[in-house]
Amino acid sequence: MGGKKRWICLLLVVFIAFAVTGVLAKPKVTFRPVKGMADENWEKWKTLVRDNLVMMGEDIDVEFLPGHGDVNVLKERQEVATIMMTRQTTPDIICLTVEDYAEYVTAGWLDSEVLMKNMPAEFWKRLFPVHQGIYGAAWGNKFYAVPWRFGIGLLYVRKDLLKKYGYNVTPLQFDDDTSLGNLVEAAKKITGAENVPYGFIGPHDRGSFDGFFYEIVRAFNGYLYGGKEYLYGPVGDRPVTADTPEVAMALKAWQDLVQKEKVMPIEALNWDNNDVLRIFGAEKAVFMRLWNFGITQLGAVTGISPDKWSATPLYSVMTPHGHSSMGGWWWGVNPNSKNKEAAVKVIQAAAEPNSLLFLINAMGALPPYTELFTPEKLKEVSPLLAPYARTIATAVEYGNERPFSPTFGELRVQLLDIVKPMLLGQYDVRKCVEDLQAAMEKLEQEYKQK
Amino acid sequence: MRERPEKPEGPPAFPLRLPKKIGGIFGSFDLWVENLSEGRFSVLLLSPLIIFLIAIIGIPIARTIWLSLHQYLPARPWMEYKFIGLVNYVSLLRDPAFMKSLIHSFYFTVLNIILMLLLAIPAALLVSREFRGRIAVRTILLLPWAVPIAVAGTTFKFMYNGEYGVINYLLKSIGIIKEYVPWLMSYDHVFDWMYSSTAMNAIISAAVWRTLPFSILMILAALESIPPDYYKMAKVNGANSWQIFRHVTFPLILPGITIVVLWRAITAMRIYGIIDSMTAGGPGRITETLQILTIRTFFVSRDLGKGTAMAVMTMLFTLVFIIFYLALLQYVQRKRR
Repeated sequence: MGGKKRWICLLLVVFIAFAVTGVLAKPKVTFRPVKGMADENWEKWKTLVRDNLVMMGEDIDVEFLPGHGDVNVLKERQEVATIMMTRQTTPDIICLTVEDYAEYVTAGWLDSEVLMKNMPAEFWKRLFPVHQGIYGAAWGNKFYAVPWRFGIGLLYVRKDLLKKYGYNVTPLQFDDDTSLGNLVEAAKKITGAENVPYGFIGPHDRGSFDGFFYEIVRAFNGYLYGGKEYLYGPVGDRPVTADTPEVAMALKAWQDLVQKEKVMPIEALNWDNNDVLRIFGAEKAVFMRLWNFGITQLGAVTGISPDKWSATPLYSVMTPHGHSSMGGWWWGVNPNSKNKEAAVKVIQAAAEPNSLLFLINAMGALPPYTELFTPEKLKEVSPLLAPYARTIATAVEYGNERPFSPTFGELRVQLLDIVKPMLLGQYDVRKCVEDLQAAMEKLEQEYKQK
Repeated sequence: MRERPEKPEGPPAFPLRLPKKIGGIFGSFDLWVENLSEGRFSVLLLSPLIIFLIAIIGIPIARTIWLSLHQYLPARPWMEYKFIGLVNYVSLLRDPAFMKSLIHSFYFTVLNIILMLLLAIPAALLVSREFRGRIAVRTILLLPWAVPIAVAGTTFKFMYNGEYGVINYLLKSIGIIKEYVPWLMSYDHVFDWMYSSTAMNAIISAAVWRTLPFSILMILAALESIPPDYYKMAKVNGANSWQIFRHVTFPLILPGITIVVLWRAITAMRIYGIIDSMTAGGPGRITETLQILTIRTFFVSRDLGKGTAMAVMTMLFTLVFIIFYLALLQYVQRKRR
């Protein structure tokens, strides 16, 4: 064979070898998560997911890329936006929070087709055994991402102090109606007499903001958040907007907590979930509003004894049965990914019961399986959560619809601008309502142009 | 047979035997370079750097300006990417939030520069003298520069805390304040008639602390370049300390001061790290500067067209500031003559 022909054959062989290697290579799925748990738990959970893949008979390599922690959701969101806007093919799976969902869907940043095509109906049924859950996670009858975490808003109470001052500790069920006035009175009495500086605390910063707000609004006779079509959902047969009396009343109540009653410190407006957890854990507050993860994390992070506190559910906006919502930790498939089917398999592996049960303690997460929340099952996984089994199960069953509006993310930032100054007493509630309404209308107009 | 001429002594004219054509090209190039003026020759030598700078600075700036003339919202695919001319700029000039952030940026920059000079000049004068422990003092003065911005911002945030901050504790102890002040949560202003937010002033103090060392170094370098004979002559002529400073020291360190002012103007107009770590633009939007607003527009509103327009406006306002300063300097120097 001539020299030239020899070279051509060699090149051809090398090329074929590369091609075959590429075809036969194990598919690799890159996943960019928001961790949301301590490092050692994160490593254990990764192993669980990989083991589940092996059990499913899938030969897929999963690479977990570094992402931000739970409290750096804003930074994480910025990075995901950059990845999507520059059409990068990795990571194959991204993490998002509930307020990102609608925005990412309308921006085309989540692949629904691959999820719907490759996830069997039985998977969705198992994940969402209740109608409300399915309804809450879908968008136009399709799923664009899978949510792992339900959150329940709870009022954590210092039952040791409340009992001391003659207050009946709120039971763990949600059929008891407590007025704000009662709680304020209790807070004032206790902070005046004990070495407890704060009456009410709640996270107001960096993504924690709306939780307290809408619970105040609903639990104490007001409405703000609602269903899918409106930013402020319908109540009965009328849409509720920022300028209805209920909203103004609720905002005033909240402002009074800070300015008039002085049971909530101004500093709380800068606190996020972790700050609030630590302050309550240091026994510096009578009442704390936080999500369910506090039940498992309070003692673990702060060392406070469980006899000193308990938690009671706060009412949901849309249902009288206790409030819950799809929280953070949705997983979606990158529409530019080159390993979409493999990515879906990884999601399925993470949805196995052993993986989700692990998250209960590791993350304080409540997976969207009501079947998991029997006292007996929870006792095995988390003795702390077990007393709340009925609360949690019912709340998950009646998961409220968080507003899946694409404007939610932007409005949330504007809420901070508008509501915080009002809470600080810089202007009155009426101006706050006007600004809220104007901001909402402007955003809705921009989004309605589609 | 013809004898070959002897080869001249010394190194060969060109180490390689090149074909005549290429040798000719080199020869022409040689001639052309020899005929260049000094200025043009310098440009020729700098041309690789110029090309490199155009590639990594010029092209991105041009692209940014081009993008700012478009409607571009990648998170809203129904709003098509299209050329809209100066619409983004016009809407910014009409946007109260943008104008407020501009005022905040100018306030931050001007106050930063004034405080910087008021502290850096005396500090540089102090450490330029010989005294015991001078090296230790110099080292201490330079330490803030070594602290990362996020660490500095977070530390000052704790120090200014309204409930347990050390600044409140100290001020209350010495009787300057009666009650603890929520510095970073306050909407109060120092002057009612102009923007002078307490929260922003707190941030400025942190920013000045962090960047003071560089200013001291620049002015110190200028101070140490003054020949000592000038001081001797001034003393011989009966000048007192203030006169020496005013007529000898200050004019000669003016170039160093100019560098400090220009550097600070450029960095302060696009300040981000220290504000983000202390207040993130809050409370409300009272400490939101141009850069904070730009990043918010990019990553929250995801309006890239408007965001790039803001970035271009920031660049232009910085240029205006610098031109204004240089013009003022020239005016002052002309007056002195």
